[in-house]
Amino acid sequence: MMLTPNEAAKFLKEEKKKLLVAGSICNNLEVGGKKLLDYVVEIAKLTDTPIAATGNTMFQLKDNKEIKAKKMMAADLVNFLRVDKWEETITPERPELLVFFGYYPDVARMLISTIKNGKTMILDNRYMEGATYSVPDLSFDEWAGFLNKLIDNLKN
Amino acid sequence: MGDDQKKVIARVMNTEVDAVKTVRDIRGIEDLVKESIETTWSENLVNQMKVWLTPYPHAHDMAEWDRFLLERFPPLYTATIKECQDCFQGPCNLEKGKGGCGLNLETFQAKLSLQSACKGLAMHLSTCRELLDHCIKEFGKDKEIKWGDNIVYGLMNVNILISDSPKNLREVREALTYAEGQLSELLTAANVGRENSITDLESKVFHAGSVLLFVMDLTEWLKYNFFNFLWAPDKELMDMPAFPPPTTEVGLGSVDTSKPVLIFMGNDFLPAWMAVKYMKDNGLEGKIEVTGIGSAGHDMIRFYDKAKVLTSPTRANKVLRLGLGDVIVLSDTCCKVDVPEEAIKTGTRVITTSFNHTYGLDNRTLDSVDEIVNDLEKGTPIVMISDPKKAGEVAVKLVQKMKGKRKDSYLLTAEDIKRYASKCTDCDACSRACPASLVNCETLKAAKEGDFAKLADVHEKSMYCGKCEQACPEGIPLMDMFLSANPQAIKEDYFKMRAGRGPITNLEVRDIAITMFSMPSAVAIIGCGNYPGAESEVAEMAKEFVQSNYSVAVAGCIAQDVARYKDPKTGKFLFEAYPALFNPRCLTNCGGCSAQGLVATAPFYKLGYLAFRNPYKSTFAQEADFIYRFATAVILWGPATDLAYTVAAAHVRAGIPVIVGPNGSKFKRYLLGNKYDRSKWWMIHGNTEEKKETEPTPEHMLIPVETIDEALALVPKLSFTLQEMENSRQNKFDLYLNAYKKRFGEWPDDWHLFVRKETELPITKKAKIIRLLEEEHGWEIDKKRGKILKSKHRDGRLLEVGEFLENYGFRSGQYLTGLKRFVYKPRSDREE
Repeated sequence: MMLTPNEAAKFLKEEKKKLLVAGSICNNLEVGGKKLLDYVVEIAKLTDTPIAATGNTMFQLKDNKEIKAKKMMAADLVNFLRVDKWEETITPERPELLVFFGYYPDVARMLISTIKNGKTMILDNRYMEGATYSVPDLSFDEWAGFLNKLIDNLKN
Repeated sequence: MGDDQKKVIARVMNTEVDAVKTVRDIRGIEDLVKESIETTWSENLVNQMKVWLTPYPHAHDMAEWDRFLLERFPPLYTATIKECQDCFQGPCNLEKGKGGCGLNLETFQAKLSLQSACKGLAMHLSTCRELLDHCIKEFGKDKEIKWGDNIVYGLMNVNILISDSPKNLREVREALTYAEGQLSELLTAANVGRENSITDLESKVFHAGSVLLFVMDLTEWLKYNFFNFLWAPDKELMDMPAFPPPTTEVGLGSVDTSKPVLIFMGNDFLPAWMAVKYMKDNGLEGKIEVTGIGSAGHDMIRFYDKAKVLTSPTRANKVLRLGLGDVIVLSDTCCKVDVPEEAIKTGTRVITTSFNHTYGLDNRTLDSVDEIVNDLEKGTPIVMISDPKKAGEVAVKLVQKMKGKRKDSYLLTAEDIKRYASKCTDCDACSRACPASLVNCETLKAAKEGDFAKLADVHEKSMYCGKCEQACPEGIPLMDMFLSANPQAIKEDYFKMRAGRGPITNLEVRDIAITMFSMPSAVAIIGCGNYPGAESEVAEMAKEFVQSNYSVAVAGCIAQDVARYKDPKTGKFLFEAYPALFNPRCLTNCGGCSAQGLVATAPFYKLGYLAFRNPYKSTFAQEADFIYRFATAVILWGPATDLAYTVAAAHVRAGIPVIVGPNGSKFKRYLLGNKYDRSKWWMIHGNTEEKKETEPTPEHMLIPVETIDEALALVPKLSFTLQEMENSRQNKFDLYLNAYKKRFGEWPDDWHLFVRKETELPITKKAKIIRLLEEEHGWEIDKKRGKILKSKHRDGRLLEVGEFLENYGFRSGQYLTGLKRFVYKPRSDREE
């Protein structure tokens, strides 16, 4: 399903068991004058969602006491999701919505293709067929607008 | 084979073995089997372990070992193709249930996996066949081949499958025929209506990998025997650290454009070899710049010390857009098919030599050299010449005539760049098309204002795949703009490396057998090396490993990326700074694409024999079971080609964990372990046959990573072994914790799973570890003495230290195995 910022905010508010998954681009990319990771942190704080920090993103999050974050390998995360018993400590229960942010499209496509028993949301600026919810194809300016509007909606 | 087969007695010291009972079917290979047993088995082994050889194996002959791996590391498929269109019953949407043939979605993914592996195998098989046919025509089928002075066991990836290494070209032909037969069998299994189990299909993927390394070894051998490739086994050990010298020039800046520039590209080095021979015969050595892209380059530098390596095949567009070559000779290339289309833009003439890249051209092999040269000089952009000798001669003659007839530079001016940038409409189509998200409208906005820094940054990181250019609705020549943004960067693209040296010798393996208990591990960095991101990343990774005392061996096009580091203090390139040995704190380059089987599997098969008397002739499962328990890892960096996929499968089957990145996301399946599932982590006591729980190591056999930092942090963990000496574990534990702390700011969450006893803990972190074991994991500690009193087992029991060691893993020096068949037992107790 192609998302609007309002819908994204609604789904994020509604789903209790969710996990933000922040990939390696979060550290490198600036959108609308802000690092992608800053958006992740803001969404995590507003929705009280833990962050599985893949790639090198953990290094930037380690001193942030306002959020719960843990270094994980992306492959490990999707691997743990395929067995019935959830033992990974990042969330107390198996997450039912995984929100991916900061991945090259090929990596994101690979990750979501493995998830059979949960919903997926992509907040990167390329439409991802196969995801339960995805941002449409957007230019950088449009993407910044989408993310800011999403955050405004989460605040209200 | 019936029960009435006559006995074939092999004698090992005072023990007799009926060789008939050691193989599935001995007919036609009686002498080979007998010789394998008599030369590599000890009396002790023969008496205590069931002898079972698998000469000339089919995939299923190794299924026992493959199942052990696949049960512990079940395939995780990531392919997104859900519809099978393989047969007349389709198309079948497998998301909705079984297809017409009975295949379900997961099995379909396994079938795709096997198809990929077959393609990977076919690529080198075809190159090897072409080379062998050439050698037989030139030298005759009875021409003997040699191994090299310091390599007494032959080629290990060959021995492990067919018991012995060929001794002449006729035997090489027989060996290759076996490989061709296997490919045909595997392709048939990947066809409609054949295998219907993930395990069986993936076992065949593994087999394609083993056969691929077998073929690569044969190719290496032919290169050494008949084309004078550099070969370390010919050297004395004392000369090896400096062999070959680190003088090979690498990069776009290495080319002297005042001379005619000849470029070779592809997997077949024969046209280049012929061209160099022609140059030498005609006094032209040094008068022409002989350069290579990819595999051809890495092969050329092993027989011509003036040859230069420009870049890897995927980045070939850089070279082509620069118009660097006056003539380019294509052989069986990987990655690019549009070379002529690009070359024509700069007037570079193209000679294609492979029957796999014919471009709709007639073969001009029967035309005279002068006639072909004349046509090309007058403007024919491309010709096909299948005879490598004629192609080489045409190339050398033509390149001299073409010099000066083309522009000096094909770079854009600053005004051109600004003009093109101003055509940008901010649609960001380039950004969405770029597989690495490197370029976007901000890049062009800055360029429009005369700020080319962002363009130059893209040049530094781009693979030059050209997807951005194709996506741009305004037709902006983005690749030309990246290249032209900072012409100085092209001049500074200059490095030095060691050419490939061939196999790791027995002498080096002997030395590593002595040091392996105190060194962290051996790591092999292989692959195509072309990946989006900073070109220096692979070099950074190699530097980190070698400086942490790993033994680092590289092979494939990646070697030229490993070269891309220069120490700012000493001014030395990486290959200049470290000895070229397969030893701790050394960095060695085994060679180009076909040398990928020489860096990890081959030396560890030898290690198994030298250090533990593991027989190496047709005993694949036994050797893999050994390697699985010892420390090594492979990093496969670069694009996820079918070839890379098959190379990875080969290493996994040999018991070596493989890390793929960053393009590894395109691999179709991973082999990941689940550390939380305790039922998966066990081994069998090699004497008592008791099945015991162990630490989750190696945790994965094939895992993708996003960054080099993840690879650097994973290698120490994947190198933990179940039979480790204390100082070795201390060392690796320290590296594991440091890597996480340095790169991610915290220790890993699973470190406690690898704690067994105090003496294995890194000294500098021991106090903290012991405190955390008590506070966070429920261990009992004597705080005053800083000692562990009771250890917490994963099943919740609090155990005395000794009892814990008996219940979690194995004591150092104990023999353990993954397969019951390998348990030591007196012969009289066995059911044969």
